Amino acid sequence: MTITTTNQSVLRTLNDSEIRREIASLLTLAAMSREELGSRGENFDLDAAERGLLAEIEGLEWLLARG
Amino acid sequence: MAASPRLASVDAFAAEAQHFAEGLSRTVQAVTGDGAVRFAADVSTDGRVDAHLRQEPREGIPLNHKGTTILRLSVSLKLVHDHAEEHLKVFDSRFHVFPEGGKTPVFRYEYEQSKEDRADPAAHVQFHGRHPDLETAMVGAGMQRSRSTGRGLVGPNVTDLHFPVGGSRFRPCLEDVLEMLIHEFDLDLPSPRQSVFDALADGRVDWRTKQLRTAIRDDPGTAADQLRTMGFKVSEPEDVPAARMDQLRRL
Repeated sequence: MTITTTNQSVLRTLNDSEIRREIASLLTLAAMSREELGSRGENFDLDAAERGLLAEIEGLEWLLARG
Repeated sequence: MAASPRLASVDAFAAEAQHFAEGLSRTVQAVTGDGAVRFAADVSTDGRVDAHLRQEPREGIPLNHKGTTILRLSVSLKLVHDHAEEHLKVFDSRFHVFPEGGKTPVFRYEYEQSKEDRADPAAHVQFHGRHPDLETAMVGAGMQRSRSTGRGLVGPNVTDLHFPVGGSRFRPCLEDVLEMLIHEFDLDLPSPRQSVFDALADGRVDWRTKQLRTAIRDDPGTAADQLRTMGFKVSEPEDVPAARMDQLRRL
């Protein structure tokens, strides 16, 4: 993973293995299973931090699926 | 040693994604005055090269009134190569506004290119709340259950409705949503109002100009006709591209 940070952006370039590791790390932060996180997201039952984690996970999953 | 073509492509796409993220950051920082609010781009390097953009902080962009955070704006965009593989384009965008401390959005602006072949409008806004008379009309129209799975929602409700907002080419940009929120919620601004509105207008011009170019590619014949009407001298290429009627007809 390569990370480039400026005052106005953060750029991460990740291969598939790094994406999977990052998803696992975010799920650990969420302290719930992927299924529970997704289900609570669909039911609008997440607080702001949890929503942010879900959005980041969904984005990374999309990158994996596109490949 | 020259970089391989693939590396050059990843680097070029990543640079465009970062440029896009920085533009969004400038827009949001103009409204919040908070350098901690910015955009992050995750770019995949295996297989197809795509990018996901998200706001920082992860909890959402705080929007304040008289020093108190009253709203949180969450922004997420998915970027892919355009069909010519020359530039990036938005494949999916979500602007969600939440009340501070709340779990249900107030409203959501969304663009989903993957929806372009389905009945729902690809660019739409959805509202969250209850409207008994509207829900009665929806039941009267034969809608039996909610398409959403919000807490306690069983019958159809206003959240189920996807209001079209201009299609793929003329949909609102983040600057439009921010300016509306400033007006409607009297948000605190870091600098004189006009300078903030000028910054948003600059971003809006950039967005609309790009979208106009894309719209012209959808129907260059009409663009040429309009320019001739205005006195321009326009000559056609040998192979005149046909209008992309699929794009023009799409909701």
